[in-house]
Amino acid sequence: MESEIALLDTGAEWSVIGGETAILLEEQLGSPIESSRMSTRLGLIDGFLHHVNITLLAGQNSGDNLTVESTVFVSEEWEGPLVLGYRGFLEKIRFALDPGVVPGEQIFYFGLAE
Amino acid sequence: MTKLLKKVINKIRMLPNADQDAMATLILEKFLDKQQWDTAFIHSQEKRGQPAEKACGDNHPEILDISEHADWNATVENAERISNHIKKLIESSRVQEARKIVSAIRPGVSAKLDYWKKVLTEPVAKVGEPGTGGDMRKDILWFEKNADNYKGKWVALKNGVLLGSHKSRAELRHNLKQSGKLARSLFIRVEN
Repeated sequence: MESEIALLDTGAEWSVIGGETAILLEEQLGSPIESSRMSTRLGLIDGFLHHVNITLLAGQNSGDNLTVESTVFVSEEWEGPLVLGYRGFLEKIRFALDPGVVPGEQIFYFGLAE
Repeated sequence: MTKLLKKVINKIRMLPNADQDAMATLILEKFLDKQQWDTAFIHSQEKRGQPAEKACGDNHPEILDISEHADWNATVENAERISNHIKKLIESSRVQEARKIVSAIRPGVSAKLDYWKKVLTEPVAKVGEPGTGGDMRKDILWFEKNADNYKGKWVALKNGVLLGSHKSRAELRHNLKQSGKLARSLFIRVEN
């Protein structure tokens, strides 16, 4: 299984999956009953809210992976990166960001909220 | 009560009973829509049929706080309207209000309400196995040095080594899977 980089955005209402990844995911999940619309920095986009599991991978010898039963907004119209947003994901985990001093030193800490 | 409302009610009084009930239903629907479901509550089946002037009186006997009723009697008839309201709340970033509404609705009323209940569930986190992620520092360093050469493409990296690139994520994934290099690879899309 492969992993993908995501943009951490505490100001995003939902996590967002777009483009080809959205197409692949929608084929697996099927079309839900209701569509939704979301306001983004690239404008309004139409898509669907899905209930999916997202796993944050800890580095080896750096702790444990964390799987979150999440709600994400899946939209083929979204042309930006994969986004980890507040509702349905970040709101129920503890996290911190160390931006580091030089490239490659950034560290994202995460764990259970309770 | 305003003069205009009195005038309307006096005219409604002149109608046959069935028409009076129809007008009362219409007025109630408009009134509740106006409340936008913040504290609105559809009247229970036991309270249907009351005259509009009583239902819209000062004490608002039909308007109840949802949180006080764990077993909210959402029905097939009002499910579509509730679903539309929930959708509007979500699209207006009023997710907590939408969650409060669905938490009071019993499952099985309609497929749409069950869908909203599911996607509005608060996230649940569980600790998994010991970390299986790779060391991304080398990948990040490669990316910062070489990304400009791959604009508009997906790249797959592992331990700072490029495994492949392609405009299509699906194609790249297929190629790596065929060559046995997919496991623990990191996919990044390079913006134009």
